[in-house]
Amino acid sequence: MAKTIMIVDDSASLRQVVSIALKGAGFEVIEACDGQDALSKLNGQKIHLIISDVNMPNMDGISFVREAKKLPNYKFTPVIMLTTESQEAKKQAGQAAGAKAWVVKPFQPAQMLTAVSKLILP
Amino acid sequence: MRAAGDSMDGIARGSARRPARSWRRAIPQLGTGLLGAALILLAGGLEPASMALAGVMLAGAAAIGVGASRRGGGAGSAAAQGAQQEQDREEGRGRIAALDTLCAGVLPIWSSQVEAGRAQMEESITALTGRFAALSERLQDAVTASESVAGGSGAASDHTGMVELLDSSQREMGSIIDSLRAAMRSKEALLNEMDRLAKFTVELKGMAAEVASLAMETNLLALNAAIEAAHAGEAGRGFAVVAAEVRKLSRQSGETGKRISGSVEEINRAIASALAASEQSAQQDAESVKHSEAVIGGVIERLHGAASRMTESSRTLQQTNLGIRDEIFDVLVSLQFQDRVSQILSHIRDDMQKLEKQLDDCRGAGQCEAIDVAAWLGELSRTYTTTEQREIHQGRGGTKVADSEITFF
Repeated sequence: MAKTIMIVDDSASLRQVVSIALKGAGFEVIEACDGQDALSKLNGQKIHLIISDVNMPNMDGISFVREAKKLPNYKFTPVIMLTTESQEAKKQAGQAAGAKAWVVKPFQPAQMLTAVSKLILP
Repeated sequence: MRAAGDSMDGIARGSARRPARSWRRAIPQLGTGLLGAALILLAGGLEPASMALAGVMLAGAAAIGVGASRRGGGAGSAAAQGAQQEQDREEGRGRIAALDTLCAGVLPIWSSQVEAGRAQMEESITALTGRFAALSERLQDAVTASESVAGGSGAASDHTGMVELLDSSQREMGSIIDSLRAAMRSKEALLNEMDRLAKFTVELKGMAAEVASLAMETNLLALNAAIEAAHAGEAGRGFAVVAAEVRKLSRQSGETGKRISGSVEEINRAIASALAASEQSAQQDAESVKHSEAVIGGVIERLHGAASRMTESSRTLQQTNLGIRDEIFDVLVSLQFQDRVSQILSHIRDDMQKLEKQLDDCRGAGQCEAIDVAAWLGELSRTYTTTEQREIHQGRGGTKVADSEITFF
């Protein structure tokens, strides 16, 4: 059975690009347009990995990861931050919130898939 | 670029010493710089070079502001110059008021224009991405369908392909030929049986000849017996009757033998004729089977050739489709620039709106607090999310978008 990855980004075009790359590698994809939307979609269903942007309206990526990690079902779900941010301080904030990797946009699909296969839950 | 940086430091120092006047001189320059930077970004097609130019514009504007503030601070105390300076100041205040009005008028328009450009770009790129994504999916479907036609060699080998279909057709045609051969073999067996029957008729003919010979000998014996009975006179009269009956029977036996011989001849001719007809038919059957086999072989071979060309063309099509799909995906990956540009434009828009609000507040309050330009620029720099924004801010160009990098925690 295909593994499920949630992609959280306010840019619809970026969600599509990530989605095509992941679907092409055999994953199922759930899309959310910001942190709040993503939290509302974490309704107990099995999600093997989360890819989240940092700067988003309503709820930013770091806050979303922090909230998601409080939910018992998603406490151990690995998170990759996918963002234009490359500042060390922001990376540290992401790490502190519970992210496992930090990918700076524009991403290369092959690189992203390597990170996904390295981190995704069995 | 270094001069611009020094000038920015100068802004901060100048502002601290002469707050009320110098910010008024600095605001129009800063506003003009921001607006100019935004215009360059829009007119320059959102290229990194435009971003760099926009950064220079901002820095330049700040430097001009500092120059203005320094000129204002350099007034002498001589009484002769006092009146002239006062007049200059009046004129300056008039120009600043005009610039304030201009800023109040154009800032909301410019920020709306920047936002409209950003939103249009986002909408168009999203639509473009969607269409490219649909194209990519359709190409993938075409590749999958084409793989199933080629069969056996592609990823979708579970589908019955053309090659497998032809192979199974050839096997089925072969089974028809086998059935025809089996029919021929059973016909040959029948011919052999008829041949054996023909050999029996020779035997029968011999036996009929023996019957005729025995009848003749019996007739001779009966004739001798009749002669002997005549010699015996009255005593042999009865015997003469018997001898006559025996002769009669022997004649009948001889005729029967002849009839048997005739019938056997007839049968023999019929068998020979049937045998000849069957042999001819068997020969025709063999030729027919051979011909059918050749025709089926030829048809299958031609179909194989056609299938092979079709498979080859299908593979070429697959490769082309895969190539186009990969190209489209590369285009999609390149379209990620929209996310970065959108963020950069959002920050410019937000800063314009911030300046506009500041001017509104000033007008509302009837007086203005000094703007700490260094703090303003510092706050602006904290909103940046991309490396190139920070580099532009520091006057280091920032024209190149850094390659993707990945950090594992």
